[in-house]
Amino acid sequence: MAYLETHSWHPGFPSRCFRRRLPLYALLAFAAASAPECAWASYIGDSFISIPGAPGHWQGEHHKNWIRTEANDWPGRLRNIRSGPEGQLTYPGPGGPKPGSQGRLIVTLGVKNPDLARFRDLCAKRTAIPEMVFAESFDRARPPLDLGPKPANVPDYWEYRLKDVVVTGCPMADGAAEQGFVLSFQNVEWLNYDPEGPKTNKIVIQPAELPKVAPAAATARKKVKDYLITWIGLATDSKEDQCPVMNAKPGDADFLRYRSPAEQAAIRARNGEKGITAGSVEAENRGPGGLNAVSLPGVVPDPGFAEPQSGVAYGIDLDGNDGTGATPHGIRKHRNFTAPDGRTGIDNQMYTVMGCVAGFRGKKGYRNQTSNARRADGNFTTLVEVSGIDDEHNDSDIDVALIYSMDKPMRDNAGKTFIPDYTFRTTDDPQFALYNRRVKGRIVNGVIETRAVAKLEVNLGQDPLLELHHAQMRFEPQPDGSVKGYLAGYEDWKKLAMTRASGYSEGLFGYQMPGLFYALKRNADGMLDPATGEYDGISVVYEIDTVPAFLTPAAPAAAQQQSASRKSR
Amino acid sequence: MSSISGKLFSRNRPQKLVLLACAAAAAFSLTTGGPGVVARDVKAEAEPVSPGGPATFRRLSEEQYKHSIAQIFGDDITVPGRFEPDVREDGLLAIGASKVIVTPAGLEQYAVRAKEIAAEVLGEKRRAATVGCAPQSDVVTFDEACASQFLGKYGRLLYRRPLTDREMASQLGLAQRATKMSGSFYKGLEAGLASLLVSPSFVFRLETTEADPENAGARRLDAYSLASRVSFLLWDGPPDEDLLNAAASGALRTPTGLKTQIDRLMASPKLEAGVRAFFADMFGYDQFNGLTKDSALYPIFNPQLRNDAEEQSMRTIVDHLLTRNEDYRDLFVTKKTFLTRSLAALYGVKADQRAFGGWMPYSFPADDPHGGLLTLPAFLMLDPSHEGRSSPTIRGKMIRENFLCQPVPNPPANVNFDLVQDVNDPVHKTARERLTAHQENPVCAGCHAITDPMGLSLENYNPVGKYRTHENGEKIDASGTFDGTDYSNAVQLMSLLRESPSTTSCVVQRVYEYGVGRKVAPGEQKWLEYVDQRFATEGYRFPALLRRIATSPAFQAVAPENLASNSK
Repeated sequence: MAYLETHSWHPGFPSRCFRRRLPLYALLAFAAASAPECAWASYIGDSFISIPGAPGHWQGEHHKNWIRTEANDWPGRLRNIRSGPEGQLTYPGPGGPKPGSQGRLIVTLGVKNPDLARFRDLCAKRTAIPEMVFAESFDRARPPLDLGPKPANVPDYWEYRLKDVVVTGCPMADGAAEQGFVLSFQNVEWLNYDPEGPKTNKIVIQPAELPKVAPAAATARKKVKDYLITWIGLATDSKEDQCPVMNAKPGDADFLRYRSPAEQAAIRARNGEKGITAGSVEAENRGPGGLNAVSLPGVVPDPGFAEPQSGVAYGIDLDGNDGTGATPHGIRKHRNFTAPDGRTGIDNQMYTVMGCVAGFRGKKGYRNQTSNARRADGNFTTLVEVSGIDDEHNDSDIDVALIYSMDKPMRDNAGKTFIPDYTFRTTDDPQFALYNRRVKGRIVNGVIETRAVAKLEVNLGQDPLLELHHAQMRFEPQPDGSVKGYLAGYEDWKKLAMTRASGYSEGLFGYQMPGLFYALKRNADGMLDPATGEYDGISVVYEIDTVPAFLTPAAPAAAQQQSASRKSR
Repeated sequence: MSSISGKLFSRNRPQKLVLLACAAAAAFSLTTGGPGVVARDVKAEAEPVSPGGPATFRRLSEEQYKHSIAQIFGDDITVPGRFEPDVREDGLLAIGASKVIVTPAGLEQYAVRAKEIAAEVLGEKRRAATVGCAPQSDVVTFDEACASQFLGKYGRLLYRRPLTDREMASQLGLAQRATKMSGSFYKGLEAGLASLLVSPSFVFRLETTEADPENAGARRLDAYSLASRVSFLLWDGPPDEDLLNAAASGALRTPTGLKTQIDRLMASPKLEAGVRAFFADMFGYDQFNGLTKDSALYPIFNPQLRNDAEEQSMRTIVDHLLTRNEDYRDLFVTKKTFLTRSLAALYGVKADQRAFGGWMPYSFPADDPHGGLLTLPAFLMLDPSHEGRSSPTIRGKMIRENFLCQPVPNPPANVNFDLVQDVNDPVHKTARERLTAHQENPVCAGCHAITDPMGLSLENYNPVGKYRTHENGEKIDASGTFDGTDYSNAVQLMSLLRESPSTTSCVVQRVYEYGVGRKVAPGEQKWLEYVDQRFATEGYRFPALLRRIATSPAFQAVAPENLASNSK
């Protein structure tokens, strides 16, 4: 069973808890044991609490009459989770602490949450609660680089019964969007996950069902064109004069804002002249009452966020609206950009958010460069295939596919230039082949456009699985035979925020997590949640560069070699 | 477009004519009529008697050394150290091999190599199988019989003849002394073997002659020297036991015995190595060593592509000439070749599974601008002197010299090449324009008139062999005239080269020169013309050409003077 697990730090992810699973098989049930590192221990997004006899006010489709929380964090060292022998299948299971443990759970409630007052009261009185049930989202609790569909017998929400709970802390910062509550419990019971007991959700390993997206064959009438992706990254390039002020990493003032004078003195003494290191525990726990302001960024007020001063951005008109007239249903009224080529109605709110963050600033951004450097090294070779072409200038019915390859891109001796016209074999490695996808499109005056698809998942390798809603692609032919273009859609901004919730990343790439959190929330322009009335999605555009290439199916023998090669990596 | 008659380069004419032609070419009418290097009477006629030429004394090439070690001791023996460079003379390294010496540093390398090979051959793992006899007593006592058996066997294989009594006595004495000093019989043998390996009798192919009993007053190679000529021609390696036995028994001296051995050698898989070695020499593939191009200008170029290009042409040659036994002339127009993933990218075609780590047979479409050896990247990139541009002059010179056996002199020392080399010249955008301007200098015009027309016809292929239609935005004019016939592109030129008598007479001449290790002697012309005719009547099949030359009395004939005295 070819699961590989790596424990390493990658820029952009919380350094304290990182895991990557490379599934060669889909997971259909659980087994459990212990693992040396934690699963994802906190997330930004909804979780729910039920207190027997005291229903909450949440009226959404699921967890009705529960108490809705905005973010949660299991602080401290967590239970280790692993299934299967070393080097084989791993599965994190729930992120909560081991059954029978005592511990703490920190949740945040929005300042407009109707259950806020009750929690404040519980906190003020230190009322003992015999038990409560906490439900956390499987989807959001997954490790950031976890891949593959949710196994069928895994619940949408992990549920834990917390016993003898006391709200031992509820610090509130003026102007913050959320208030944190520290739930101290004496025992925890897992309600829908019991891998070792008789009601186990035991794992059954089955081959993954890979999408049947094979390279298209050209015919006398239908052409096929393949392109190797040489760059894919957020289209958030901004010129120097468009960012009079760049975002910056937090400083000592930010780190110490909610500390008492005695604490400040002690921290200053510990860190001396070098100051507090971004990414350190005391840097992250800079919220009121020592709450983690990186994983629970809503507990501090918005420190502000520099945004580019430009009306020009790359991208696609995702909502079919250029800002004039009525805003389409499900879309929040937002600023529409004009593309450099004059197209209007460009939806790229992520440009507003990331345009002035040095590490994420399009092609200049170090974070984007590192992931594309790994792409250049062949870690996640991806091709765009355009097939069914009758007429390269205008064709109302074509197919556009994203297909992964096992082969490395070829570059010149200096490693700077990608060599065109190489042939690439498809990969059967499920971590990539699972995300091969073909969509319908057309060619208009030489420009390739795809129809919007409800959801498109793209494995960007170093980054978490990209889940684009209402996704579209657009490619323009270039004189050198390549195409350049965009992949655009709406991303869940809370998941995006989670991937950046790292004190180390704040320091490395130059931003403040709370500022980013509020900027994402403020600029979210799509994916209206009718239950909350909030917009869960932000329009994002990924810029794509290519060189002409060819795609060929891998022979079975090659696929086996590839599998063996990956095992031994 | 000017061209020059093949007659100018006839092997019957002294090369100095070419020099004269170059010097005077500005005023020289280069088109003197139709092709025709050799008078062609294809009617069968008796093979003319050849007086032969001098015997030769040739240093083994690196490949020949390695083939020798592999054949005698096994192909897993490591051959360490650096070899001294070969020297090309009269178009062939095989001729230059008799013009080289071994420097003190080179001798040191031979000595180190000999010691390491001997140590590996007589190491504990191998010695039982290699030595073939067990010492009479314990291994510290010198067993002369066993040592004689060992040194006799391998001395004969390495020297390609039996050791003389004196040589044997010397080797035994050395082995005995080494045994005594080291306290090991096998160390003694090791010293003896190392001595054989460093001996000039191994490192050099010294041809010896004897009186030809069938031609009074004439001489011929002795049987062992003949065995070496034959085996190095066909295998690029030394005679094996069978061939040496045929030489010892006198069988090689009989037409039947010689034919039997030639048939055996040609049926061996080692024939491919021989054919590869010949064409690598004829086409100047030693220049691939260290060949590089400016990767800023030609990012696709890298050592892998270079190696693939070389191997592609060799595979194409071997497949065409040996596997399919096709007409040699069709090498210039064949659409069949082999691709790796890198080469497929160079051509801009899709590779299949076989091209990943291997080779994929490929046929260019009929209307594709590729076809034939000279449109393969091996030829097109093989210009060590120009990393950043193509040189029509060098390409034309290579065709003249390597494929048509028409030597072109080197340029005068005081020529200003600035104009030719400025690929960014806004006025002269294409190589043709730059060279035309360059030829306004009459000193240059003569030779360029010989080389450039054909080279300019290959300008549609950039310095790494990728097809292009424009240079600096200007459409490339690939037209020209060859032997009085106009053509419009390289593919058409290839067809004309296919039909040129110089193309086939050149390979005949080169095979012979490669085999005998010297330039054709004046008295051998008639015989060579005969072989040329037979090559034609046999459908220009290369194996038939090899067989004819190897079995011919001319191949063993030696002119009276017994020393190497090649050209110059």
